[in-house]
Amino acid sequence: MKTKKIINWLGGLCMFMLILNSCNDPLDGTTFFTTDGETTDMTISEVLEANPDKFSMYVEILQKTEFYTALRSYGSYTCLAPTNTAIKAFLEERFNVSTVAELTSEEQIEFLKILVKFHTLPTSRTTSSFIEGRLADTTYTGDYLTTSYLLGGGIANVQINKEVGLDQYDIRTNNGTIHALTGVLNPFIDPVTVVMEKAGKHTIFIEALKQTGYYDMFSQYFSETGSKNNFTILAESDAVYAEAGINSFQDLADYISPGDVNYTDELNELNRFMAYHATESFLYSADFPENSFISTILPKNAIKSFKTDKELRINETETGVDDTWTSLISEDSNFPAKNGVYHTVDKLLTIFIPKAKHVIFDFGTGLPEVQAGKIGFNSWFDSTEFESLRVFPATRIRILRQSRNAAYDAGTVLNLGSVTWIEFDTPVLPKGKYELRVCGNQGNNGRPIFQTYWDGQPIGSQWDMRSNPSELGIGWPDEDSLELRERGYVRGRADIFDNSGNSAYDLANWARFIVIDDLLMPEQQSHVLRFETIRSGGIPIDYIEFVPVD
Amino acid sequence: MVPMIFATLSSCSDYLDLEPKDNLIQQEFWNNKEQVSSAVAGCYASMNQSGFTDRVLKWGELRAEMMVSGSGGLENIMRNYMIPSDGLTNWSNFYATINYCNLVLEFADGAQEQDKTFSIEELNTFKAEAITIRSLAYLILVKNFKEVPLVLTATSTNQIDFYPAKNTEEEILTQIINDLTLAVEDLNLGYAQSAAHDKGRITKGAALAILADAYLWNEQYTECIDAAQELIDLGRYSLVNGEEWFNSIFFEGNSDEGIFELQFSDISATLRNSFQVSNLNYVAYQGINELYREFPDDIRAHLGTYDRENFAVFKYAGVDETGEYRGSDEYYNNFIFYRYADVLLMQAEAYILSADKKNLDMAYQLINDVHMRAVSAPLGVSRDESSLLNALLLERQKEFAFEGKRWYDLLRFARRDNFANQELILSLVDFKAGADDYEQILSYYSDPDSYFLPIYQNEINLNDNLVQNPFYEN
Repeated sequence: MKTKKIINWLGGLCMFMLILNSCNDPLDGTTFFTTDGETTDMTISEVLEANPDKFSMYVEILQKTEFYTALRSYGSYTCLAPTNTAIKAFLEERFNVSTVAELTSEEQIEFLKILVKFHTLPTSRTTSSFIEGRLADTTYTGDYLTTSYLLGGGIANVQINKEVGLDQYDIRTNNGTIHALTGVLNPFIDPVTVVMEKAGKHTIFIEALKQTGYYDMFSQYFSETGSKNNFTILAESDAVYAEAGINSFQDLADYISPGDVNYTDELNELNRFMAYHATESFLYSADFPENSFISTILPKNAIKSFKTDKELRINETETGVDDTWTSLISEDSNFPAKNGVYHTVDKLLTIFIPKAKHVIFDFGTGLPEVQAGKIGFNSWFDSTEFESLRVFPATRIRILRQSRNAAYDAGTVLNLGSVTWIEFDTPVLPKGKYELRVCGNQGNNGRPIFQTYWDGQPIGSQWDMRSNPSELGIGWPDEDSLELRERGYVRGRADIFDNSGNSAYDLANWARFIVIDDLLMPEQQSHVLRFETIRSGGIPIDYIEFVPVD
Repeated sequence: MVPMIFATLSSCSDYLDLEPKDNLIQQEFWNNKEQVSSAVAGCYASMNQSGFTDRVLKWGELRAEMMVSGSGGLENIMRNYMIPSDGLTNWSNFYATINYCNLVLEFADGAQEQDKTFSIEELNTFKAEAITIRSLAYLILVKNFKEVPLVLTATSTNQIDFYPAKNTEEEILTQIINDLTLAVEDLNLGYAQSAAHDKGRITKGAALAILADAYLWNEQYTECIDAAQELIDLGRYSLVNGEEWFNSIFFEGNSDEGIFELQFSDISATLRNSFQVSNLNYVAYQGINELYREFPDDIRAHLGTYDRENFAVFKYAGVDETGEYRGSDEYYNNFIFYRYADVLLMQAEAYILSADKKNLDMAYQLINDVHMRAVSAPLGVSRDESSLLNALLLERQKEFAFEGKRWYDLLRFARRDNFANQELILSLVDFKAGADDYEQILSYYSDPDSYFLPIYQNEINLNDNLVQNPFYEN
């Protein structure tokens, strides 16, 4: 390598300058709101109070509802504060009064309390966390707020719940962040069905929901067990139906279930069609999975969600030529309600029968608890912290991540001591015939032997984790050669490496064990997979693989 | 004497924080040629810092598409989502350089009067160097902030205004152009010592390159043609041969093509920290294979500009065509501000757009010179204005990839005729958006005011006369 000489005419001076040119300003990174002082010295309540031109009415509401002190307490909140102008307009429209003082009845005070709770988040969120979709946390009323960029123009034109804009944003205080709103947010009161109906763009869809009986179901706030309902509805708008030549409910019924008017029957095609348009989970478009299935209300059917670098594809046909798929119309989607959210699809969402699909389920980032950030890597958690998997007896579990392991998904394995059994719910799998393979760190006498149970029935060969196909020696035949398969294995994945650069393909202890090669799934659904211990031992399971077989 | 130097040159990185200096001390320092020479060296040294060069690189690339960072903290600028509290918008390094230049301009005269060996010509050359460096700093600022305070006096006494307001883009560009026009007269062609001096110090050629750039930014195309021609006529610069493109320009540095390259006495921290292959902070965007696909033999493609295996920026990180990389202690790169190919393409752009000197054939020839050198095949494009402009922008993208030019190229093209070509910038969103954030990122790019950076909040807090740029008022 060529070296360069010090430029001699620089002399030593530049050294001095380097040293001298590095004062730090203690005020870096702070923002100011009032011209007189620094807001980070004050609490949310104090900052609001210090700016009566803008916030005197919201302060009055806070005092009236006794939340003023709460926003002065230690913590980290987001306060969405409507400006005086916004509150004045709201009061006039809703109550026909012009001052907060005029609201005195118990009902009115109760409403104001809901209003304040709806405008407050338990976590400080600056605009840098605003996405096209919902905010990460719920308000104190338990609702998700949405942020939307559809108006363009960056942060200054962001809309909250697609109804209210920002007057001023990211006002930092010592207990959270204030955003000033140009309007008052209407707390969610109506169920998703009513919100859709009021918006008026989906009249045919709404009529079909009513005729099939789903309107009532999707209007419930709570389930029979008392837990909060969340529905995600994917609806065709009247405009989308019109493109398909459907201009009335009757057109739709004639198209989907010709000759069968018994719409409330669960076997009726229109009934099935409508049930396929909803899920029992709260999914903004950003929450749709990258490449997975979402179970619908229609039993044993799912929507396939796949995100490319550019777009969301629902029910992509994957025929290889002229693939078709459905997507969402951005400006008519992500509308929240008290018990869910609705989206508008860009073409008819017909019941989709997916092909059998190669699915890998990894015990690392594949677990919803890990995705949600509830479970971190390498620490032990009580097994009751996991909802997606169950063990008996209860024990502690960790997601071990080690770069020296040639394990799928950044070296993660599910690690626990010996148990009687461990079971989990598989992802929704399209119907078809599959080979079921499992992979874990095998070839150690401290490992267990498992019998696999599929939906309660024992299947396939026993997985003896003490051994691995190393007896075959170096130079294994091809990935799934007959010789290796007869031993019960295929080679590990060639795209996984340990930190010494060895591929799982060449490592005996990361070979894949074939549990069964003709597992038939007659319906598209999620299944329960259980490993029962025949001989106990320490468990490091990496992933489970479903490979379609013809 | 050493404490004296400390006292006189000590300065916070924030020019607004500068402590008033006493005139007496300044005058005791400025009394001979050697001291002026050291002070001019200090102007260069102030650029020779990562706070300066990092920003030149990031401001010039990250809002455009080609350079992608996996490291945290830069997602925002990569989506054109800038907030005033983001330290990346802190311009203090640039004003520190400006202040060093202003000190030279203010005190060199006095030194010359006291030192009989200090000729008036030498004095004028030193001052022209300082003026040119100041102009370069202002040109970078005006491209990024559009409007900034024009500070032309040194903060060496307490007599001056510490709370300057912003000047308009027009005022700043006029100052740059007037300053450079005069400085060109007094500057040397070279320094008769080594290539490192001729490329590393401001010369007549360097000032002309900056001047041509300023004219182009100010849409004074005829003047741009003339400035570029004056540089070409110096006869000191030439395009290196195609097979020498990587080695001579980027690996060795100080090539025949180099006009102004900042030299480093040690390694170039900015380039090492950004592109070191064992710790890739930046990689080329996925579309780069497509960019060079039309001419597979383009010497600027695989193992020229980038490495198609790992998307590393080979231009700075590589050693030779075997695919070897520099070790972390081997980043003796220069930081290239201007090279001859840039001047040729600036002149080509001006030939296309000039009202009274429009010459599409000349423009074609110039673009073709750069094109031929890289791909050994003539430029196949019809000689009409819009085809040539497209070809020019594409050639610049390939030639100056990762040299901190791409964003300004896009912005310069987009903003002509009141943002008639805003689509050039909006289409960046296709490279940047995923399945869920298209609307969000499109929104971040939708307002042309957002193409200029916010003034760092701390500056606003300290200076009541400074008004935040329009997009960032909150």
